[in-house]
Amino acid sequence: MQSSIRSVIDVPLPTPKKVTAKSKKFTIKESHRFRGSVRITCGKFYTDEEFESRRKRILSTPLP
Amino acid sequence: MNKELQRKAVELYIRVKGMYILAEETTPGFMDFLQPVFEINRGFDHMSRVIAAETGLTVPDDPETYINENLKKATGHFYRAYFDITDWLSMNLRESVTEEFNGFSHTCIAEVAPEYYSEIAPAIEETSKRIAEIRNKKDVGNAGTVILMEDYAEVIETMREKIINIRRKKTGLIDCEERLKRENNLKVKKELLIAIVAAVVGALAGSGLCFMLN
Repeated sequence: MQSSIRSVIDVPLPTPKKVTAKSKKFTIKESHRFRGSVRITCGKFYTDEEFESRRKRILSTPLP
Repeated sequence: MNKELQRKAVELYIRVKGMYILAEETTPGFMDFLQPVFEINRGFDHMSRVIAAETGLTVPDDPETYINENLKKATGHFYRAYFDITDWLSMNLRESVTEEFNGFSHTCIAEVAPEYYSEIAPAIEETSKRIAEIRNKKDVGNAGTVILMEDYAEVIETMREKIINIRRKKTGLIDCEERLKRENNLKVKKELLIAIVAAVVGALAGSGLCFMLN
């Protein structure tokens, strides 16, 4: 019992993959299988690329 | 030691959660950012190992070291989440400032919200620059960075309050722009009038001179 619990609980979770446009598309497509955040099921989240390009755009816009 | 680390991890998580809610609320278009969620998830995984060991569900070889190690790892993940969220939030604030002041002249901004040029704009520039530096170093968990991040959280919170105050002054900014426009129109009219008067006087003087010469 002990060893079986330890063999599960001590295993690291899989490393998070990059959030891509493909994974966003897949999330929206499979939203009926997901009961979590409404934003996520609607695809209202940044992909890593979108987040980076937004950060670059905001940082390059001079403040008034 | 355990209790202290445990308390630190939970306190940090509470701050992470608070910042996350704030970041979600201030992001345009109800957009979410998932990287901090992944970090929180991993932090919880380590916390569950701690709880399993403490409740006797698992019996590690050296429970104290096992618990401490996992608490440190959980704290590390929460710090990374905290850093990601602070970065995200600072972007939102910077964007909101740019949008709030779009179309207003420097004169009116300085007149209605003088604290913008003296405090807010330099704080935004400084925060964005320092967060980018930490982000490039990727040493989120070290003690120096942790102190810096706590400072930034305070800076961001103060900035947010000031931006809310500036929003309240938007009517003043609009009034100021209209007043400036009126004053400018009046100035143009005055200059035009002076030019017309000068032309008329010049013409009269010219014709008077011609009359006298004839």
